[in-house]
Amino acid sequence: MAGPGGGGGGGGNDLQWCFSQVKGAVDEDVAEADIISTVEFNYSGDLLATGDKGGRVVIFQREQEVGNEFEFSGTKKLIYFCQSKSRPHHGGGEYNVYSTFQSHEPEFDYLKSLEIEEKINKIRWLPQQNAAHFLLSTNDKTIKLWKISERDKRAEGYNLKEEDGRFRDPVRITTLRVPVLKPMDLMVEASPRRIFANAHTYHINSISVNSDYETYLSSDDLRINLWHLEITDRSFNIVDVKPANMEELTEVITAAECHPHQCNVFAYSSSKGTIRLCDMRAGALCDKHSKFFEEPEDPSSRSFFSEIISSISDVKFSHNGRYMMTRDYLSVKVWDVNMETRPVETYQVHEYLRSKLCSLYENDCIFDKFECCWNGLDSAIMTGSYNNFFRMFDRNTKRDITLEASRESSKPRAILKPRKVCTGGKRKKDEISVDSLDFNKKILHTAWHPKENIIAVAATNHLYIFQDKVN
Amino acid sequence: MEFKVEAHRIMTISLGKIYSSRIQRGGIKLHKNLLVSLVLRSARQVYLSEQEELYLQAQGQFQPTAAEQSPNWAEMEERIAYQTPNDQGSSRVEAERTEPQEQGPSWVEVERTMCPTSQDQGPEAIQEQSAVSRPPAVMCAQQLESRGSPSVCDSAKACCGRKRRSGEQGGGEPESPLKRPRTEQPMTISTTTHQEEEEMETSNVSNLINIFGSSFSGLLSKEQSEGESGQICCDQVLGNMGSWNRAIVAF
Repeated sequence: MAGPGGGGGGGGNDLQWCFSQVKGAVDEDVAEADIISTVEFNYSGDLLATGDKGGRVVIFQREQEVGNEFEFSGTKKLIYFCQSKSRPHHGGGEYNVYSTFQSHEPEFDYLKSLEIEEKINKIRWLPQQNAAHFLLSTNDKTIKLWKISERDKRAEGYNLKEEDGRFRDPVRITTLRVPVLKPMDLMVEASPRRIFANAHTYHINSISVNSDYETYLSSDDLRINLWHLEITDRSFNIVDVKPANMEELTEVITAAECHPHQCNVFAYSSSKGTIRLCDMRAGALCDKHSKFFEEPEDPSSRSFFSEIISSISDVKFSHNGRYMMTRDYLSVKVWDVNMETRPVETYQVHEYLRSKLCSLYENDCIFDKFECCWNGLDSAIMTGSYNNFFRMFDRNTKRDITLEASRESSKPRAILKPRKVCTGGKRKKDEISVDSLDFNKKILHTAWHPKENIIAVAATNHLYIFQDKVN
Repeated sequence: MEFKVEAHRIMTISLGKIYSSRIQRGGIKLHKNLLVSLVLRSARQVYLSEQEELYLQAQGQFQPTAAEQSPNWAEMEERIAYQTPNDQGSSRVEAERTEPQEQGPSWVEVERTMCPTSQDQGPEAIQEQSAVSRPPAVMCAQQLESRGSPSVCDSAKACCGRKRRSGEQGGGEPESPLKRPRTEQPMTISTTTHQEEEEMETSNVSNLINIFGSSFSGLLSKEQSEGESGQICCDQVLGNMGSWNRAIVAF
């Protein structure tokens, strides 16, 4: 059900999810550069950005339905604002390519003889303030602010130039005319407006725009820096967990995010499964956390790999700012920001992998960094798994569902069938056994439309878009 | 016992990961290497405590009960936690002493086979057998040149002396394999230290990786042909890993 407020009752089993679109190359061979490495909706949900390993950013725009009405307001600024907010899409609205550009190129650090990958680690949109769209994209070392603007008019009738650009001989000019703006085919241009470089020694894992819309933070394995969007030649280091003696290193930063409403608060997760909430008003260096979230370890489930699977790969605040969600290898946990002792909810994503940790260590799958996301109402959460499966959990009904992003279920409006993994005993029909799972098909990146039940799921080099069935 | 085999396997895999992380695109990933080093350390602790257990059993001091024969993780950790560093050092040295004794017969056999075959079978046979003795010799060469603590060097020299003697008895051939890795080693160290900046703290890492790398490649090549000498290699590495424990974590 499309409309403001997120539609149905959230995720889970209340809704039925249908295939909407799939983007990506048709052929079977997967080029490394085409592997999608990040997916992000903008604040209105009309734009969907993806970054890939080749350093490219592709932005999709939701097409407007013909005959939409949107409110006008007096000033031009408000017109744009209203346009993005209240454009009702009645169940349709496909996402089509809006802009493609090369954000980052491979670089070589000559001092360290290290190649810097061009892979886009994260994209974060800025809230729209005028006709143009802005986003931040980052690779391992450098963050860039991109401006994406439309050009649909062209000036014609220059005095000194011909239409094709050749200069006119000034002697020949006998009359003067005022150039006029004529409509042209829509052209979307992306230009880098700021380049924030040389601030990170280690690999950048997160960027997060602050709610003041003036600053943002970037985090690498050991440090978190605070930037001003206008200033590129300096940043403030607000967290530094590098020990004086590197031999004493036991913990690294894995993800960081700004609080959605309180511009002085941010959270960061660690490889030891802990989350720290920090208040920037407390001091210039936020090494002392305000809150420390850790769940005591269950000693009976200890193994060689306990430390690896407790490492948090993603942390996300809920839209209302009251909860945080963390993803570790086997589970998703929801934490109440006011309770540090343990999470309020824990959801098992693929517990059947616990007995396979040794094999997953061997083939490196245990190091996969899964992301997680909230729906617009904070009533459901979604995360990915293997075999192109992804999971949704309804926080209210406590029901969960496993769906698959595959070519087989790619017929328009085809309802996705719930999938089930057989963990032991007799395998029922339509169930898949753990040993048959394809661990090369992993869904690490997912995104949920901020207002509607539309989800984007990145499956290696394909982007799947699913919508809820309109009843 | 299954723990020991499993721990050994995990250590081998971890060493391989550390080694291959050095050549992957984009530079060493600190997070992944930290996790791998933690797994390596856990596996090593389990492995060494099993070694100590076996040693004590052999000495007749330790009466294994049904429960202790298959220790669970918590018990293992308790046992490790109660060991003081001195105890650990002495148990490690003792473990080293017992190891070569246990594997002594195989070395003696190698020596014996090398002498007669040098007369009978010709150069190919000699090279094969000298190849067998190469990995431990490589290990010794590496350890001597590593910037380890004095205890490491002492134990390395102790075992190296033993190995060298057995090697030399076989004739001149084993010395050339000894020389070859030696010339490779200084070059790799100088290039890596030249390349890597201190701030990344990877100079320790590169030394470690060279050591692990050669031992791992030694393990790789030998595990296919002769599992026994592969075992010897790994045990050599593990016996000396005590002082490198913190260095591993330094990733």
